[in-house]
Amino acid sequence: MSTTIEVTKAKVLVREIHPLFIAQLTNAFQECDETIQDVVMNMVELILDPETRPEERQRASMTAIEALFPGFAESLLATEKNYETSPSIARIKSRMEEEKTTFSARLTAELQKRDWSQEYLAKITGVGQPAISNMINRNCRPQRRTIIKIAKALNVQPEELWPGFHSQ
Amino acid sequence: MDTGHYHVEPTAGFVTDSTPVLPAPEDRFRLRQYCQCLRYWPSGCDREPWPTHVEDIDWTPLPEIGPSCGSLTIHERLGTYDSFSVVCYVSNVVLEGDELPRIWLIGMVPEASELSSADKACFAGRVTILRARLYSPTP
Repeated sequence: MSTTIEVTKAKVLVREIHPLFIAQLTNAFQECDETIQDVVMNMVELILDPETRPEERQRASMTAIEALFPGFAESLLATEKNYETSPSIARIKSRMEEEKTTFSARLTAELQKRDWSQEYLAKITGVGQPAISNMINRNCRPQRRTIIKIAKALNVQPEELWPGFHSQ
Repeated sequence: MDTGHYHVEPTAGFVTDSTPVLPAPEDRFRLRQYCQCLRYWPSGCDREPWPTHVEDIDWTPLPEIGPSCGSLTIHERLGTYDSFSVVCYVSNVVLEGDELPRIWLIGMVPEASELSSADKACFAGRVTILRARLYSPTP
């Protein structure tokens, strides 16, 4: 019974997969060194495991493709990088920079108003002082939960620190 | 993006993971921007103790994937999700032509949750590929 199923599966594969693809796949595998071949085999095991969830199977397939076809990975990255030159992303970039700048200026002003040091703010919020310094220097984009923590410590609303906090 | 101590670079695996989760390139860009805070980690921190106090981040070491691997949790609403786990590989080796070492974004899963063993095996495979292609025989 199981042999019949295997034969049927094989027939379907032969019909559906282009012979050239099988040749390219085999060739790519043979060209890989042993370490990469091991990765491919591990990914194949994951793909064939009936307990693997669809999203895990998808991740494993893409990892096997990345292992077998480095050129594909490079072109994918190049395409993603290309998006960064689009006007919509340029607008987002500039808005994100503005948000960081506004937050930095407002936080600095609030600290000065209270004569609080960064160390003191770090102590009462539980956020590391280097992290606060990096936010003030606009090196780091604060996460929402951090803005809330800082706003609470300063007894102000989050949107008084971060422009459009609730609309995001 | 030339300041800091590291370059933070996505891998193809990260792009293929994030594309179905965040179909809009703008959302994927935002996610990568959040990861850029890792640029300011002090040099030489590729294993425990991780300098998590230096940035506003939520970091979970992932020794099962590799000694220099961890997961950065981003608690932000992007697309239809409220949080993301980004798996990273930290290298302190400066590649030829680079000025700084790299922190690689290996992959991501939506909604911060514990990674499954299949995901860990997959991410470990991606780290192996990266090390074999770019860092072999070191580090």
